[in-house]
Order: sequence, then C-alpha cells, then structure tokens
Amino acid sequence: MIAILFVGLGAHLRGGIMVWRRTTDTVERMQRRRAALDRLGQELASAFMYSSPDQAPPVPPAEFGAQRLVWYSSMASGSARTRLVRFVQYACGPIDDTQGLWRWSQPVPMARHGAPAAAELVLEGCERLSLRYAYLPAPEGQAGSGQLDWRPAWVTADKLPRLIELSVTLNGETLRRVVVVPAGELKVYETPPAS
Amino acid sequence: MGMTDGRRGSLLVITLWVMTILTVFAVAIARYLSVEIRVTKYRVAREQARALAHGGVLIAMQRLSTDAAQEPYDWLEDDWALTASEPWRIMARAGASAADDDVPWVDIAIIDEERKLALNASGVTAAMLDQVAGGAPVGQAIIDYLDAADTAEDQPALPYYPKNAAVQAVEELREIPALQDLARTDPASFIAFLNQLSPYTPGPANVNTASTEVLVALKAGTVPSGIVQSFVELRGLGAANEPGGGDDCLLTDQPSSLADLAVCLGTDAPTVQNLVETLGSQSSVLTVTAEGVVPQPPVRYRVEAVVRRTGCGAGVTGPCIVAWRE
Repeated sequence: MIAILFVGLGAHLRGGIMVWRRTTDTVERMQRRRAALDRLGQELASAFMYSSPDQAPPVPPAEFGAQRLVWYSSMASGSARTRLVRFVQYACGPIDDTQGLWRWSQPVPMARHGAPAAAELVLEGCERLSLRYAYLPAPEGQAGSGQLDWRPAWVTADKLPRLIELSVTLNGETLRRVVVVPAGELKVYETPPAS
Repeated sequence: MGMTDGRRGSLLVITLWVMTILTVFAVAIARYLSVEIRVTKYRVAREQARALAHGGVLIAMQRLSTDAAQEPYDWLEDDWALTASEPWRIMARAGASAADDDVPWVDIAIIDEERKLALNASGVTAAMLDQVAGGAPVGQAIIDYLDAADTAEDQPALPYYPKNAAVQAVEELREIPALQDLARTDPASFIAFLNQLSPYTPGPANVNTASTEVLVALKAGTVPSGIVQSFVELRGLGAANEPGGGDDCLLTDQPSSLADLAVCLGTDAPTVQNLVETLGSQSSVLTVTAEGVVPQPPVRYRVEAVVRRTGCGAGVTGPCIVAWRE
C-alpha cells in the first residue's frame, strides 16, 4: 500500500517537475528574446549620424542593410550622467560554432584604427535577422500610396531611418518588432543613384 | 486490527520525510515565484516610466510649438523655460498632487541649446573654449579635433585621431586626450564644460538666455566683463528692477530695445551694440529632458531629446527631434 502510494507520488512529482521546468524554460527563453530586442531597440533609439558623406572622416560608415545593422550610438557609461560614443554592429550568424545574434561594440578610435571588436552573444539560436525600413507612401495616384512603404534597405546615407522592422528567426519561429529611432526620418523612397 | 507500536512509528517517519520533501519543493517554488513577481513588477514599472518619459517629450514639444507662436524672442522666463531644479511635474493620475507619493509622475525640463557655445560655428576660437572651460587649456585641442587636418595635430605617441569634421554629439569630445585628462582630474568641471557646448546649433547664441560663461567668452575684448555680468544679473528680473525693468533688459523685437538696454545697464549705445552684435534673441533648438518616475518599485527612466522648433523640412510645420538619448 505504501509502495503504491510512493510510486504514485513519485510519478506525480516527476510529471510536475517536468511541466514546471518546461514552463520556466519557455518563460526564460521569452525573457531572453525580449531583453535582447529591448537592448537593440534602446541602442538604436540613441543612434546618430557620426558623419555625413561630404565630411567623410575615415571611420566605418553606418549601414542599415537587409541583414545587418551598423551605426554610432551614444551610450551611458559608468555613472548615468556621462555618455560615450560607440560604434555598434548587430548581425546573425555563426561564430565559433555558435549560431546567434551577435553584437560588436567599440570606441570610435578603435573602429577608426580598424581594430577588431569582441563579439558578444546577445541571443543564441538566431538563424536569420531580416530588416526593413519604413518610407512614406508614394505620392497620391501612384501604386502603394496610403500606407508605409517597407523596403529592405535604407538608401539615405546622411539620415537615420525613423522606423525599422526587425524580424529574428529562431528555431523556425520568427519574432517581429518595429523599433523607433526618434531622430530618424520618414521620407518617400527614391532610387539611389548608380555608383 | 490495530497496528503495532513499531509499524505506527515507521509510518510517522515516512510521513515526516514526505512532508520534508514537499516543504522543500514548496519553499523552492515560492522563492522562484517571488523572484519572478518582483522582476515582473520591475518590468512593468520600467515600461511605465519609459512611457511617461516619452510622453513628457511629446508634451514639451507641444509646449514649444505653442510658445513659438506667441513671442518673436525667447528669454529665461519664457513659457518653455523649465529648469532641472524646478521642472514641470505632471502626475500620471488625474487629480493627484505631488504629495501623493505612490502616484507615478514625469518631470520635464527644457534647456535652450542657444544658451551654449555653438561648437560647430565658424567663429569659435580656442580662447573662447578655454574661457568656457574655466581656464582649463582644452580649446586648441578641440579646435584641432574639429578643423581640417594639419601638422599641429600629429601625436603619433597617442592612439588618438582628430575627427577633422563637425561634431554631431558632444560626447565625441571625450575622445580628445586633453578632455580625458580633465574628466579624470576634475569630473565636475568636465561635465559642467560639456553642458556649455552644443553641436546642434550653428549659432548665434541667444543673448537673452546665454550662460554667463558663454557671454563672457563671446564678448571678451569687446565688452567689459562687468557689463556682461550686469546684463546677466538684470535680464528678466521683471518690473521690480530699476531702472528699465521688465522686458526692457532683454533684446526684443521692439525698435526701442537697444535704447532700453542701454538705460537698464547704465551704459552707452555703442557698448550695448557690441553686446548684442553677432548674437540673436530667438532660440530654435532646445533640449527636453523628461524623467518618468515610478515610486514603487522605485524606477526612473530618463530621456533627453534635442528638438528643433522650426525648419524641419518641407511640409513639417511643428517641432522635430534632431537627437535622442535614453
């Protein structure tokens, strides 16, 4: 009788622990994703154009591409009232056999010197980072007018985009988030001149 | 059918073990849940503080937009002028007062960027920068960082590169070794110095709002520093100030403004002309600082937005954001 009681109790506990562990794993995974995208969004919010094409100081240019983000950001350092300019990059891919969303950040002089930045794993398992940028609707009378025009590249070299749609694919599942860059611009798409 | 004393004792031991194991589980789960609840509460408070701070910036932009339509000149008692020491506090719940210490709020301050020295303006000299820095010899290093490349900037022993272009954020100056030294030896002076510089405005400074340090630096050699000090003390004191008083001690759009200033300062017209020369009386770029505060759990979220009131491009009539820090 007692043996049966113990077997039943043990099985119940084991099942409960499995469910508990699965639930906490799911919650923690969701929290890690949210924290990673929050951080990316917050760093993008403080983005600024370090230089314009006509100034062209010898630093790596900002790049808002289809699968990669490269920009300059003002970040808090140490005490909350002092800030530093950092050259920041985000991309998905494998590094040392670890697939994930990676972040590189370094001071501007290091970037200018071409020194490699240490990669920081922000979100493990990221298979693909897809980016789209909002443009204003085409003028009235043209196809597509009336809603934002989302395109996979930001073509204005001297301005920041106002809205960026991030799509992160993890284990076949895609997370989407629209990040606002308050100092960015919303403008009508213009075909970039052939270089 | 009664149990023997020995069997009754073993059941007690088994029951106690089971109870112990279940208690350990219960404590572990309770502890985990307690941590999760605290994290969630913090998360909610942070989002609330963030939303308050963002909303505060938009409210401040609305206030700036309204003020721009009222007076053609700006001064330190203007509707928009909200200092960090006396911010505009908006409680998150209607009818709540500042005494309600459990209600979240947002503190809004607006600082004129044209009260600062325009870093990217062509007339800025090393002497002006030194003066604003309180005498610290940093001016030439900043000029070298900004201007075209020349041999004076060559410092091969240092891992330092001058930008040789306009500064887009004042934090960029932290790359300059001379300023790093100042930050290390006198952090308070360093932060105070950065707060006197603006990369967001091409100038001219607004004479009605410019800080004492900036006015003294801009007018060194052309206007006696005593006149500058008097002007800073008298401007905006209101009708109680004698002689002149009220707006008379400001540069306004009125034709009599310069003559009123001369009376107010007790000086002659050429001195007043020198004082206001190359300076303006309007502020078009301002920094809004909005801090959302949630008392419990205690969370503060601070946003700084640099806002341009006019000239935001074709078709944009209101203010626009030119820089953002959070």
